[in-house]
Amino acid sequence: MSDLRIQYNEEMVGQGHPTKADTLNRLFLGGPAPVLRDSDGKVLHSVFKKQTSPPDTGVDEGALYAKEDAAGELKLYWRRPSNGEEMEVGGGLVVVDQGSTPWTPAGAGYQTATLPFTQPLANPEKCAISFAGAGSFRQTGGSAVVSAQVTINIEDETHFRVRAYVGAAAATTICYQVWQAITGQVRRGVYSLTPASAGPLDIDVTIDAISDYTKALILSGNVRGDMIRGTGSRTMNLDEIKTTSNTNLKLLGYASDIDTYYIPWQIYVP
Amino acid sequence: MSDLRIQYNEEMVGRGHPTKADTLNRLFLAGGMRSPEGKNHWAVFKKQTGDPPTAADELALYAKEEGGELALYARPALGGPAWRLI
Repeated sequence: MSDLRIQYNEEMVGQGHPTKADTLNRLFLGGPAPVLRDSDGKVLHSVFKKQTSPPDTGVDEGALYAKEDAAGELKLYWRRPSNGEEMEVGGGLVVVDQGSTPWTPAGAGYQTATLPFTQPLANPEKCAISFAGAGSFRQTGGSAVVSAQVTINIEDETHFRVRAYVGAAAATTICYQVWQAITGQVRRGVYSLTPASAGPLDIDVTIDAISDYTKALILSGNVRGDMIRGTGSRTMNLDEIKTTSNTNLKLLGYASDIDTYYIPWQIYVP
Repeated sequence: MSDLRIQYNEEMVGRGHPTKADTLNRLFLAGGMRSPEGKNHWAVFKKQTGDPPTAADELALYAKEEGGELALYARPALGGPAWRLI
């Protein structure tokens, strides 16, 4: 029975009749096993039929639906309110650029390296960078610091957001520096926190006002501590950072001595 | 028609009546959100101001505002920490 709706010439029968099938609850529960909902009305699982276009959304509404992507694969999408932007939900991050970049700092202490992009990022604010692998950069001991750093225009920006995926609820430190092309570093700060749990973590970093003649600045959001040390990958999202130049990525590292380090990295786009 | 519930003074009519509108299935099908076999075409989430409670062996999917934009969240069993899906 594919059409579970009560038909006009059917008898209305509730659950538990000794001889007749339940027709009143049939559609809501999703028919015979495996049903979509339990008898208390809660969802057991949801099946989405393929849509060819996004559904309409009103104010304060978002829609979840299935649609084929450009490659013909059925994916789950989310549409923002008021017929807003469509976004693929989860699992949609694709590596668009990666490398294992050798880096020889000029001296001990904080030094900057450049990771060369081979292509510009169309939507850098939606991208994530992951420093995964066993590169020697991660073997600089407790002082290891890594940052995603982009050149941006922060004339009207007073904050940026770092999204990190933490492997454990452990003490974590976010460091940042704002660099001005002429005078060098003009702001720096540190955010310390202990996440309540493992998983994605968004931290909004507020910076002070920047002198009005600075246009293009280099902003670095640094993640250190448990986020990048230890095993497994760590991801730093460039969410909400607006770039004006995105053909490379600068990295601020702390070197304990002059040596050649290898920095494994990947750039993901949704 | 914004309230799709069967009203107390409405006649209960199933699908396929030659002249009368289907009232019994109306709320569930909700303007094309679901197919006649009860599967989703899409699901619309109205903005929530807090995280919904979850019991053991349950996961809640809902929409909540963060940073001025409506985002999709999942919350695991027993009121665990919610995470943003998108």
